[in-house]
Amino acid sequence: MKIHQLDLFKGTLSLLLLKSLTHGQRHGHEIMRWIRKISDETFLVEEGTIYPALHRLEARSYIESKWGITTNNRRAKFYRLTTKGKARLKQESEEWFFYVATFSQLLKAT
Amino acid sequence: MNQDRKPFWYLRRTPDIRRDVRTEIDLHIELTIDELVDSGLSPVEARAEAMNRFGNMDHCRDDCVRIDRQTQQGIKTVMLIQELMQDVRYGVRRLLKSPGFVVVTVLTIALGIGLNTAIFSLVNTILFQPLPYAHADEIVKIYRIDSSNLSANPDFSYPDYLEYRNTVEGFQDLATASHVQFSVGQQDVFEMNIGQVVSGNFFNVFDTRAVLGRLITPDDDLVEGNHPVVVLSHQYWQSKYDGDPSIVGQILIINGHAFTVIGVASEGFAGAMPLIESNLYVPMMMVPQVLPSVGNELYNRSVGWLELVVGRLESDVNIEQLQARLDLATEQMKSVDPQYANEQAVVIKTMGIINSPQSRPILLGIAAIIMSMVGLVLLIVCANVANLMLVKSLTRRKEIAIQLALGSSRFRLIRQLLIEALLLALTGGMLGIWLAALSVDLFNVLLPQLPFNLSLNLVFSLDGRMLAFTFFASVLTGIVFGLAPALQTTGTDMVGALKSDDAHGSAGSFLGSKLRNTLIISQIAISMVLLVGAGLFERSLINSNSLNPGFEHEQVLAISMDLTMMRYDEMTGPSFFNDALERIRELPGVEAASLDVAVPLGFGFNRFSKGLWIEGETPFDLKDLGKHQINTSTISDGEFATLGIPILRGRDFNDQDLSKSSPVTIVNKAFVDEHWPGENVLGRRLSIDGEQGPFAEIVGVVETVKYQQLGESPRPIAYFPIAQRYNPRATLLVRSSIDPLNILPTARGILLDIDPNFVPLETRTLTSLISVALLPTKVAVGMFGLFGILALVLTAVGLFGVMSFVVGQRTQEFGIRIAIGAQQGEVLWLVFKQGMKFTLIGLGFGIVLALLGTRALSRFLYDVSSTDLITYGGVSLVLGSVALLATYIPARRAMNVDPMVALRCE
Repeated sequence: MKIHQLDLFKGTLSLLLLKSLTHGQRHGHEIMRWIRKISDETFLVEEGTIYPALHRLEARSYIESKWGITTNNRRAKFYRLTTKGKARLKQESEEWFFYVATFSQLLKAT
Repeated sequence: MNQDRKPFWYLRRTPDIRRDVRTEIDLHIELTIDELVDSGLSPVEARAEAMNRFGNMDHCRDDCVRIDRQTQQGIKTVMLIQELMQDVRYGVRRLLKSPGFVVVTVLTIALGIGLNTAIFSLVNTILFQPLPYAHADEIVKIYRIDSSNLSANPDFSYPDYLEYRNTVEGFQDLATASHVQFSVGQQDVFEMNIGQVVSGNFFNVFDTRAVLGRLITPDDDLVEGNHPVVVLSHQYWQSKYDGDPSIVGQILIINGHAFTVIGVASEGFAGAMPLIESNLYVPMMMVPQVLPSVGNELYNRSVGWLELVVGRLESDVNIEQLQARLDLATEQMKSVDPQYANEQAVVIKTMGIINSPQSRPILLGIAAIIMSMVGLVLLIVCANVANLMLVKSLTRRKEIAIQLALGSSRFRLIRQLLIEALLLALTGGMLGIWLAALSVDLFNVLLPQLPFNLSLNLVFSLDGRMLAFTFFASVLTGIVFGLAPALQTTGTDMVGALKSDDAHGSAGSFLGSKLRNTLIISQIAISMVLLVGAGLFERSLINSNSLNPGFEHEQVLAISMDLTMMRYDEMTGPSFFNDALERIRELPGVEAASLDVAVPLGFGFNRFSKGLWIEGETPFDLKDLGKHQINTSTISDGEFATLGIPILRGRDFNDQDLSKSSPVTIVNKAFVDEHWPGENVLGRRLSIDGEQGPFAEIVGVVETVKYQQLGESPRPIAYFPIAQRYNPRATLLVRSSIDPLNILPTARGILLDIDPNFVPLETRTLTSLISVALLPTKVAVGMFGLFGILALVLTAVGLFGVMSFVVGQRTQEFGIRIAIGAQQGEVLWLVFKQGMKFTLIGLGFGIVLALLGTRALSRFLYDVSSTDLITYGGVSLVLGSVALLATYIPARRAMNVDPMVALRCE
């Protein structure tokens, strides 16, 4: 099953982006590759939607950016989590798990 | 290139958002393309696929740009606020370092705004306060203009009013009213009060309700003498009867007759002439009882006495239509009764307290003068503030130069200075508003303390527009001149400022000091103009006819009485009067005594004019009766002596003038000037009782005296002896060489002796009796004085500030001079010289300006020319002294400069 709309459930993209930055800084393309790899190509997106989401996250100070150089000597904008972002990620993840569990139960009920 | 090696925490200072977003997105595409190419696609295919995967690039880019812009905006705002807070703190610290400057500036602005606005509001209220009742714009007054007879003040007669009421359509109600002096009492206690006789529909016109009981209705106005009812005003009820609700139904003795209180008017209701609150309202039909001067002539067409005809318009009628109908009615009246040939009735909307067609132009003139004064004071304030700011700015030039050199942006610096200026200006502004409110409250509190029974129904309030105007003007000035230093600084100046050894930077650019000098000189000049204007007015009002009523009111006791209250009549009354006069004249200290039915400038004067027939002149048609009118006054002998009115020709009344068979009269100069200018009129005869007489012989001519208003033009009057025309209501006037109030007990004793039932209406000094008439002029005098003082204080303060600075500038120089042997006195003289130069130039300009400016005033000045030497001299003296004083204090400081300190001073 391929899921083509990452934002099927509201806010999922942002959560995913935050998660993607758990282990250090990444630029947009790297983030996208991570999403594809981790999800085994299940999540396919219009790649362009990543960037507005990233900028919004930055506007709210969950992530911060700076310009750096890629391995190929190109200029890229690298993002990483802020403290606030880390906390947000943790909280949102917990909520998500709880939500999914509860809702799954609801759906399973006859 | 090296940008990319910057450490993580370096943020680009001015990011170009669009470019960054583009770079970011482009990279993504590039990387995808690289991947795809690596996995075998051709570059073209790779690019197509990459674009496909990416999605709508434009949307993405625009979204990102939008988001980033908003973020940046937010950050900027926060930063700005932080910076501003910092600036404010810094500004406050700096200001606190020079407390003197701050205090002076703030006070100047505050005074300018506060007092100026208060005075303006005061005057504004008096002149233009709108009448305080509902539908005020539907209420109109009708004035009578008689183009032929300019000297008398034409009033309506009661039949005239009735005619208009009955024939002119367009009024919901047309009422009439007139002020009357009432003696009111219960049991033994009597007091004089002002009230009105009103037509039955009077209260209907104003659509007002009674707060207790009921008001007068048309049913109370049907038959003469049949409606002894009275309505009290709210304020009178509160103050005199403590708001006692049982007042309704009680009996009051009014002018000797019993009236029943039927109700109390609502709070704040003050009739149509709100400047003077009426305490009582009595129906028109009771005039024969309470107003003997009109008495039984209520329906006499030629007796004009009604002050006011006021009505409420129907909602579908406008003024023009009404005027047309009025004219029509007047035409009707003319054709029926020829005395109205020169008559004209004019309807006018009530626009405020004082608004008869005659007084309007005068009022506007006064308003213009006041506005100019306010404007001038404001100018001085602005000049003051400008000066102070400029001076301050100069002391900071060095500091600013250093700041600029260290790299502070000009913008930031300007903002800093602006904030400081704003702090000062706003503080001054707040203080000013507070001052203004305080002054207005003070006025409101003082007003009821006025020492007479009359209550002025004014509530003063701040005029918001004026306040806003002066506030902004002062604040603007503060800002403009606060910015001066930053705007002045240029590159070369900076170097010069840095190089100078003087702690205050150079003494200012040439332009700067010129500006300063100009400001201070113009301040002096403007003050001069203001003070001269004020001075001229004061002199005019004090010296001239305006404050001179034509008779001497000091040292005179006035006891007013109504003999009908003591059951005297035409037969018995005169002997009481005679006894009283005779015995009082015998008292030690009494120089003269007399009786007067209508004391000049008191409230008893009826403006009711009577027809005048002069013996020997061609009889005139009744249609010309308007041209043949005269005011009358009934007095005893000795009146002119008591009031200090010179007898120009002939004689006073005397004992020979008792009998009615040979009636006599005395006329005043105005009368002679009008009818027989330059001639000897003694022996001529006139009649006020009709063509058939009886004719009274003129036996004397006296000087003209003011009767109704201080500002009135000379009014012809014929005096008649009370012995021949008995009137039970009269005032006993006693001129004494000692304080009149000291005579009072003895005088009363005598009167009680003659009749133990004697009860006076009122006892006071003549001065206090007429003080109400004098009030407007006193107010004007006071007001101009206030303005003048305000101007003086402001100028002094400004001068002081500037002189202090200038002297401070030269401290080093003085130190050197003293060190090389100059005497302290010489230093003092140097400073004085500088101050004198300013002063003299300022005075010079001021005199020229004043001469030009006060030409416009000459219309309002009585007996004082606009180039009156005394005024100019006096003002110059005062202003000059103040200026010199302002110079002296800093000069003293200069004198005491320790040369060692000065030389070292950096």
